[in-house]
Amino acid sequence: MSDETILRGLGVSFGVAYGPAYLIAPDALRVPRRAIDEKAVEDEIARFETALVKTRTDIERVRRALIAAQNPDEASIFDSHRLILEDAELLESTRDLIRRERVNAEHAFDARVMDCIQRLGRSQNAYLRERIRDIRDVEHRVIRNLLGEREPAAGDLMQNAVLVAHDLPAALTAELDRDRILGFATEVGAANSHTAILARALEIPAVIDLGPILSRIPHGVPVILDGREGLLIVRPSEATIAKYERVRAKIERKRAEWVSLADVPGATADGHPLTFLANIEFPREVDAALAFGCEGVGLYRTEYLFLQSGGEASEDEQYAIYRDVVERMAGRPVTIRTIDLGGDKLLTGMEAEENPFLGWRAIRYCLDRPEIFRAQLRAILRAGAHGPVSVMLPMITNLEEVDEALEHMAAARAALDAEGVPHAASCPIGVLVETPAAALLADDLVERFDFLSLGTNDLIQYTLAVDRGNRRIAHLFQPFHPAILRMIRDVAGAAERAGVELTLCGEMGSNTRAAALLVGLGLRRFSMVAARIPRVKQVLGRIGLEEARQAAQEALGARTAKAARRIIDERFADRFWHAAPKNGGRDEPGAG
Amino acid sequence: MGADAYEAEVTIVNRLGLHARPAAHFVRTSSRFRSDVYVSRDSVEVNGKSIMGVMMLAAEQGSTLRLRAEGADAEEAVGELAALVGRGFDEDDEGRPVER
Repeated sequence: MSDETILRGLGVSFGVAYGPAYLIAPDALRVPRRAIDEKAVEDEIARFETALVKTRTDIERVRRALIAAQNPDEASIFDSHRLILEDAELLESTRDLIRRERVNAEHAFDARVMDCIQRLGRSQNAYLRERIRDIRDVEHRVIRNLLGEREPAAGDLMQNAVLVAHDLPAALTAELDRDRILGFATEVGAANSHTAILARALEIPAVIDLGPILSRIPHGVPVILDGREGLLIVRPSEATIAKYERVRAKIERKRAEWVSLADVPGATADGHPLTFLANIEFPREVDAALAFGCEGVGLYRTEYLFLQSGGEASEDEQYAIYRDVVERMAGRPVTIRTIDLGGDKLLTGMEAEENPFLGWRAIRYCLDRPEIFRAQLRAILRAGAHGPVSVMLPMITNLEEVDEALEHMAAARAALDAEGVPHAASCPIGVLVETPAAALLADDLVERFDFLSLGTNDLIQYTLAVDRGNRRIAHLFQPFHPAILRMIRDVAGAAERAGVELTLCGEMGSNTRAAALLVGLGLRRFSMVAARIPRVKQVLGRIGLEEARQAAQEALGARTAKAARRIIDERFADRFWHAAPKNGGRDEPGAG
Repeated sequence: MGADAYEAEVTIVNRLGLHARPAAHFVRTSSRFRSDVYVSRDSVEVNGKSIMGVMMLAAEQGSTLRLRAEGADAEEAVGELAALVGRGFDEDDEGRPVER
């Protein structure tokens, strides 16, 4: 008999994991009570003070991590946590109790906190629950520190566990580490959230949107997480465990096979070279990216740096981090995108806007904050002294922005020259074409820039007027839409005529069907989540350039996205999978 | 040091009342003053520099608080705190901070 339970959600990062569930839901806390010898009372108070200091450090660390993880709103909650922790009355009455009743600090602090909570609880006010939670949160931290237990956020406690949480706490997003966390399952979440993207990049299996599960899963119970099918299996039976052991072994074989393909040069079936680059956000992604055979970084997102330091990443800090990436890439090119803040990524002090994706973001923000922009350009140029770098400008919509940005670039270079600071001898500069305006201006852009990149995620969103985070219209986010295909064809044409390098760095390139079509539309360079490179390289290696062109030509004439997709499916059905996929291509993240 | 005492009566105007963030804001402000600060609602008086105390008041929108400060800068303390409460703690109806 087995009491196995299968919970269904949305798999956002592939792979499977088997281990104990680690629930991130602080609830009952075991507080011991001990009598303290009279002579030891002051030591006990000292122990209390030490725990307070440690807790203050912990809270500060979480607060910083939240800011880093783009969650300033939640970070401000920790301001009140800090004040609770510094509350003179609470602390003094705790010390009093330790002295008067000669009890251990855990018990005394718990008793005082309980007094407060009980008084709060007597009121009917609806907001009290929130306050009680804040107070309990702080209490738990202090008591865990007194007991010498580690914070769950510190990672070690959940070594080799599957995290189960309502939403993955932003603080943990920053600490996600494949060597420590088997995978994570959450009640809510979005497929293209920062967390999901990071999970994919770090190859951590993840299932989100499972609905209310926390109350159904006891802490520590064995679970299997299936990121391919979007399942969380609680108390799996022996048979299920055995089945997943085989799945895991197969995935590992596959990964090993893919990694072994890393050194195979990318090319179409008829030998036209293709280049595969990685999209990264953190220096620590570089090693995995190289293992998967990336030939460089086609998109290095830098927002994280600014959110991490609360908006004040200095030139020197940036330089150190860019240099780290450049050096780890050992001579392979690194394309750094200047900060794409705004939209859904806000710095403290940036106002939430009515319509953030059409608002003060990316290049618009940079040009209004020349000191920030200039510092970033200088840091990039300086990192360029250690290996090839280039600069990519996001969200360009007109040529005034282009001229202004190029002036800043020239000025940054001139200033470094004048100061005698070493910097890149050559640093190509390009545009991330992600607005319809930029796509239509491609002929003008190629005259001014060294390269173009296609940011299909935003290009599709802006062209089709679809917020893909909005579930009711997510089906309208169609990479195969005729308008998108024609736009890409035109940008590719402009780049080719001018002899300017063009790289596609949206998620569209990591979808094998879309990638086949893109080759036919003229794309030769793809930048994507590194883990997808071997698979896309493998599929494109089975398709000849001429047949890709013909298929693309036919798809361009299709009336609908569905029809265009069907054309690719039918033409290349035998190239996509070794055996027929039983689930109709569920292996395709992104542009499915 | 003259033990000046000042008092003011204020009404909570922001929609979410004196919840965690406004309480934090209040305590941070009151702690800047040397004077002792007390806040009372009905018959309960708490230390205005203690976030636990202030939260304990559970003051929702529309409730009346009495601010009292004693000390050299009591007048400024009461003035500034009353202004903060009057501005709804600079937050909107959803409890988000707004620009002043």
